[in-house]
Amino acid sequence: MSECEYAQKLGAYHDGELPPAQAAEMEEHIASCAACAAELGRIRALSEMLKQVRQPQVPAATLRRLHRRVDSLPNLTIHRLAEIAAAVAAAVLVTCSVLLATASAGTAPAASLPEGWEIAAVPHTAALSAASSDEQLVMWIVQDLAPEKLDD
Amino acid sequence: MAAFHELVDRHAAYLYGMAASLVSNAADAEDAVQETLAGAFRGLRSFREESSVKTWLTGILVRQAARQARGGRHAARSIDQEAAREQAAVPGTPKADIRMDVQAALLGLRADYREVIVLRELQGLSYEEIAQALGIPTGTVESRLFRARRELQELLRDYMV
Repeated sequence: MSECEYAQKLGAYHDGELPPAQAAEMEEHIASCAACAAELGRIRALSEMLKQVRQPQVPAATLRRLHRRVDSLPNLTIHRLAEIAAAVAAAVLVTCSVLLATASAGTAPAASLPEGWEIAAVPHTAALSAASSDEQLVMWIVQDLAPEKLDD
Repeated sequence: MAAFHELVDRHAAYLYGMAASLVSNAADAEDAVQETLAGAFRGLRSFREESSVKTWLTGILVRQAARQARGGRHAARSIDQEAAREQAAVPGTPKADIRMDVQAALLGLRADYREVIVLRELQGLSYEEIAQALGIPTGTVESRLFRARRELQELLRDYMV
């Protein structure tokens, strides 16, 4: 006996992956097709069984080893310090230039310094709050990395 | 690296839980997660925000778990055995048998079927997220799930009414 043509879509229906119109059509069909109703019952039963599969907690020792593994990845501290030192040097240069220019022109100093170096020099650590998105974290990590340490 | 440690804290439980369902023992699961983190680090620049970080990490983990499954170094303590020991401490729980058999049936599936079942049924990913993680069309996700469910029903026929 050949299988009902709707049978292949029962899984998607169960998973809520059918567009509304198809889902409505499927519901109507299931009401009148004993084979599909039985198959949907088996899919639901299987899903319930799978919910019983134990999702183990991460053992504390494993979590520690994972963090150690991260620490063993290329050390970025030196690179980061060099970046900050360069940013500070650039800021000093800009400040001196502004002061010299204003002194020679006889006008008041500029009210604020350029913002770029300030942003670059602020460590991200304080900002690692729960509010930071995963994507923001990845962006910070990439910013902290030297190009030669990554595969393109 | 504080941001990377934060990323580990956020996703370790999810990654470890998924790895435990994809490989046969705790040590291989840990290895898979470790290699996932190293792989993520190496591939950071290839991350595109078309998918979420979670989906991106999922894809790396599935590939690492497949590697572990092919050449797993650790045969000793299986996650099944650990679950059995826990359940043994609670006598008269028939659920222990079902859990063990379902876990065994999962591991009895071919790898590509096991992956879609774990991602959909255990981790609750949508077809679109599974497709992104595995790098396959959503239609393939659907057809693999169809065949995987049929195979699981056969492996667990004693429990199917």
